[in-house]
Amino acid sequence: MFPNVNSDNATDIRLPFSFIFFGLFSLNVAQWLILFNGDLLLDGAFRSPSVWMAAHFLLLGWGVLTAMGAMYQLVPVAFITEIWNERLGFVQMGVTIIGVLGLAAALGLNLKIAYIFGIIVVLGILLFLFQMYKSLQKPKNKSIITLFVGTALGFLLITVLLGLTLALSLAGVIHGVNQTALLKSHILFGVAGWFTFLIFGFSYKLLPMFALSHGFSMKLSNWTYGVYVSGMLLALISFYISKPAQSILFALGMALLAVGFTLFLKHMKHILSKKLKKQLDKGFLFAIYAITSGSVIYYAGVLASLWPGAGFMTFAIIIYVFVMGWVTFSIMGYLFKIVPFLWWTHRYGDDIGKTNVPTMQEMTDEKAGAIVYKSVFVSLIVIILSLVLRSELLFYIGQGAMSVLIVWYTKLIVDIIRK
Amino acid sequence: MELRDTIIASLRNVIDPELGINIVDLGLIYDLQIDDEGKVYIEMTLTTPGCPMHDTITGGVRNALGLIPEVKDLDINVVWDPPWSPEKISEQGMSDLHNR
Repeated sequence: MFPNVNSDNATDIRLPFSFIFFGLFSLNVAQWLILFNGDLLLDGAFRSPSVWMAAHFLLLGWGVLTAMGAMYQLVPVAFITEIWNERLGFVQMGVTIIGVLGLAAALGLNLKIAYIFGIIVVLGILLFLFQMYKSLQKPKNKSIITLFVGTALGFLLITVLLGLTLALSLAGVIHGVNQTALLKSHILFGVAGWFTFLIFGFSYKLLPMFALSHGFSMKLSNWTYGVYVSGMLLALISFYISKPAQSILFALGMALLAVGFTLFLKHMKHILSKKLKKQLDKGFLFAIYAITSGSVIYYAGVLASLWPGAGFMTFAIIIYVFVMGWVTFSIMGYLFKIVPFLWWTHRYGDDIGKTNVPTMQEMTDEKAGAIVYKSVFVSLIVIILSLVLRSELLFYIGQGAMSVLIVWYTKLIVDIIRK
Repeated sequence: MELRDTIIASLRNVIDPELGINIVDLGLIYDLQIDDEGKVYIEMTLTTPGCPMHDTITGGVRNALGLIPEVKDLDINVVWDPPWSPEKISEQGMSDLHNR
């Protein structure tokens, strides 16, 4: 037997897994909280404590922590480097989880102390950003993926600083802040910035890899970046100026964001046209459909920005659908590839070449996955209809189904690590 | 069976777990040299630089050849030039890829 010579790039799987499973826990909590607060959502009372609680479980607990876990696995893979300090990774995880749990609870139960946990979350995220900065410094060859992921991390930093300022303002610690503009900027940088750029960046690595695409062009990625960033800039400026320039600039910003997103979708289709794999895995397919879904949502945003009758409720629905239909569905799709990879490497990595080992596709229940993916999509459509029509019955059917389906999805992920 | 054939047969046991195809049919093995003392040199590549399976697949090659008593020493060199391309996939590999 010859000793294995590892490049030591691989991360201790407990680190990404801990993040991912806390993320799944948060996704479940958020869905049930949304279900039990349906009346508030249907009344348009988005600025109520329990809705904030659900939003932070969804965005921080699920979105940010799962993205962090995925990055602890994907950064060594995509950038051929190692995580700078894994021990710091575990510390960072602990700090962030305490902060997220505390913040979500405080937002729902005691707003006055929310900023304390906000500071802990900021600390956890800053530790994460420092870890990523040190890890990404090592690789000499920078690519467009580095630019997208680097920008995403920059946007994450801005998002947390804006969030902290907002929390301090809400707690009355600082005064004279335009809270509405701050909240809009916080959402823009977080959802349209951090999550979107992160998914864009890693999709450029994962899509060709999972589809085995070769001979594709990367030209469109530069256009995607330029147009999308310009859109973000215009939308941001619009939050801080007065009407009528505000409405025009916001509509222009939204249009550029939509075009940038469409360019990304077009690029992904081009990469897929060069694929060698005939059958794509269900999770991966779902992540691709999420891009189309995101694109449609953006155009809805453009229409809403041009429609004088569009108010807070309209944009709140669009943001919620964007978070679910683009961010959540993308993560749900990619997790069905990331978790089997992590577990396969841990469980079977040493057996390859010695005995028969399963393929990654054999680690997942593709049939059940397909049912869950189709059903969550239908559930989201029902939820959108319920919010537009203000129908309680439709809401409870759609959100009830979504909550149960997320439990089923979690079980499918847990089942992978039983194999 | 010649040692060379034995080695190639063993390398067919090393699969790319993402694609379910062995590394020989995928065209990842560029060169195989065996000297009289049982020292084996393998030059190989992966489907993409930064392939997450880098360590796993080279480890699989070590595992597979470690089971052959005639192989006394092994040197694996992973290269990126020439880059892997679909043309390197064997007919069998292509058929497997299309049937999955």
